[in-house]
Amino acid sequence: MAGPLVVVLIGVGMLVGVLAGGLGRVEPAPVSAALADEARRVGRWSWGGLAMGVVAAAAVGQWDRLGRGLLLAAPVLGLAVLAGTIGGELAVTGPTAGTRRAGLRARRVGDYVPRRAAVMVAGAAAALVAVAVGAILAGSDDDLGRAGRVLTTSCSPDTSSSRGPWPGWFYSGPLLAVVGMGLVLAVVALRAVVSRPRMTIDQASVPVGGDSTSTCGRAGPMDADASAMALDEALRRWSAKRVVAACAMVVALPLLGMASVGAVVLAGAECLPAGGRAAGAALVLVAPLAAVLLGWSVHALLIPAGLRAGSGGVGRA
Amino acid sequence: MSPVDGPGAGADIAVDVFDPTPPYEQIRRQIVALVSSGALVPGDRLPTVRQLANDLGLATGTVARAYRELEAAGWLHTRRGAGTRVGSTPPRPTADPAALRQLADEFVRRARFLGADDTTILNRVTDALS
Repeated sequence: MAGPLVVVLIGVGMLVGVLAGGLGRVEPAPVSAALADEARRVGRWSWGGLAMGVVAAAAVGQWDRLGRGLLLAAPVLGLAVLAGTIGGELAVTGPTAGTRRAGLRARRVGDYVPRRAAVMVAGAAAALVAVAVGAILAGSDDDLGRAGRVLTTSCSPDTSSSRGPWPGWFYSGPLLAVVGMGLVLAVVALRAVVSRPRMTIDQASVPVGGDSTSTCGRAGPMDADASAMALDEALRRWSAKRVVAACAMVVALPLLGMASVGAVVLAGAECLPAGGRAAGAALVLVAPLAAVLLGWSVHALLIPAGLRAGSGGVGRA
Repeated sequence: MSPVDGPGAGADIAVDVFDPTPPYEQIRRQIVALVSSGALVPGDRLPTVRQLANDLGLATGTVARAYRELEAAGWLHTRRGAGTRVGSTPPRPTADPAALRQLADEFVRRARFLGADDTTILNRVTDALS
């Protein structure tokens, strides 16, 4: 009974997540061809990371017939996206003109990350750690001695039964290591998003009162600088959103898998100790929430930056 | 708060790397000028050394030196976790007579070049002071 229910809840959750991810729309802004090139370089790194992640996830998914590869595939995909984002931010070149300008506004991570999604990811990460620790503590070795791979319950002092696969140390240990790496990479990526050089129009190349760009219309230096600023801010928001989405990918699919498998094992277990049924019910509730986050993550990772040279627009990603 | 608003949002500084004045001194002078003019007020948060250095294409040590000197003079203060902010009681700048004389000479020279006589120049200065 628990199995089909979990599957239905997961399907509904992912649908909600994908639909929620589609609510952010594009705010057009003028973009010069030179800046669009710079922005595209950031985008190429990020998309390259995603492509590498898909390949790496497919390879990791083949590892270990007992399911650890499948469990680690999504986190590995998330790690690759994070690495691509870091590469893209580091690829932004600083000013090279003789006279360089900089604003004195302190950029903060909170200015760029989508807050609700970040809170959801933090909650999912906490839930994942809680589920993993609980499963590690409750798990037992299986018949081949693999740590925490089954849940053993006893109905009497003489009899016991084991059910698995249980997401104990055998699964949770490598997962927590990869998730930890993901969180470290996310911090590095967000620091790179905030502190990378600001994209500016090379003022030396802008004729006074003239058009600094080939495609931006008849904009003067101030207009060009304002459009560069708008592009810069939009690109930072886009990158920060991808970082949060990658983190969601790192935690949501493993949480979904562990909660679903754990709920099914608990639903079929006999003579559960006190709290076992409640834990099972909690896992049934956690699984669709993880699915919502996963749906949002997939959608967010597939949103392009929305850059078009010429009449260009910058996606408010 | 929107990323483009907030303290210091409108304040820019510019560094000319070909200017004989060292970049750290250019940064120091401009921040002093912005605080003195009220464009930056006590408590305003400044960018991190790394952010400003990256935006200006300078070494972090260059910006760090400017910040250090401004902190030593009381213009800025840095606290762990709170970042670098404009000091609550920034020192009042003392007018350098030589620099003032240089500014006045430059103004008079340009005004005469525009065709203004001494009386007109004096009147415009009086207007500006009021």
